[in-house]
Amino acid sequence: MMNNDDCLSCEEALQRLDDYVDRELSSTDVEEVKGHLDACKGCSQHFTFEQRIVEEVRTKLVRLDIPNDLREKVLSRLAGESHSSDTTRNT
Amino acid sequence: MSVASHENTLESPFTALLEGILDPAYRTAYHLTNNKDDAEELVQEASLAAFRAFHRFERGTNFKAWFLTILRNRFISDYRKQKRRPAVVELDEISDEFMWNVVSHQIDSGESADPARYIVDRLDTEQVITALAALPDEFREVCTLYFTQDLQYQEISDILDVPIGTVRSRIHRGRRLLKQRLWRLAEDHGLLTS
Repeated sequence: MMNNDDCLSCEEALQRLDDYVDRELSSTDVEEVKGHLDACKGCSQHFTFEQRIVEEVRTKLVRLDIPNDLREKVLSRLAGESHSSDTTRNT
Repeated sequence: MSVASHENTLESPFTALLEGILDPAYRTAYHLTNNKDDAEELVQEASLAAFRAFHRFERGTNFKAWFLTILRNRFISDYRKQKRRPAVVELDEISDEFMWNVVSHQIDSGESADPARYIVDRLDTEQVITALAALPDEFREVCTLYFTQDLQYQEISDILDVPIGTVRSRIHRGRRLLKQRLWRLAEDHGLLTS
């Protein structure tokens, strides 16, 4: 726990945790948070935990198998649509 | 169908853009529908709808976000109303500090001290998908876009047509709910002892 007039308090840092993890903070706010994390081990662990959870979940969800024939099916539907449009135009 | 018309479709600017985003589009569709066949059909339907509306796409803007807007709208109109989702079970809140402390004590000195990886690595992809699928609709939708696409709050706001503040609060709350469910899953499968 730390508190210094020049730095963010733990509470102020934690209020910015979600936006920091999501890269939605302004560059000034990012620097303030980083300054706090450099000096506060507790908050640093907390922020790292949150960031790593997001990264790990993303990694797992991206491993979802994509059907091999998805591209072929989509292109086939598009070709059918294109053909229908051509036929309509020519009649 | 003439060979020329098929080739025109395959080589069109639309197809070139579409092929670049089919995999992430399928992932989003899968997490929205929770079903492989429905996800495939949803991607195909969205592709057709996007093809028909391509003249309205502004070149140079984010094609993936534009396509996901169409896909999400198709999902709302064609799938969500048909599906009755099971009641969502509220879980007691578990603090990050508690999780961190429990996992830290279980990590032996031979493992890298990364509690987040320790939890998620012990769950397989299906279990993480299950945890995401168990979120209430308003959080599941936003978390699907958040976790499977690299989108900013504003882009998610545009896709879902909800204010950016709503997106922000749903992502934050959804992430907490997801973490609770991952923790419970890990406990239920005997992967953690608290």
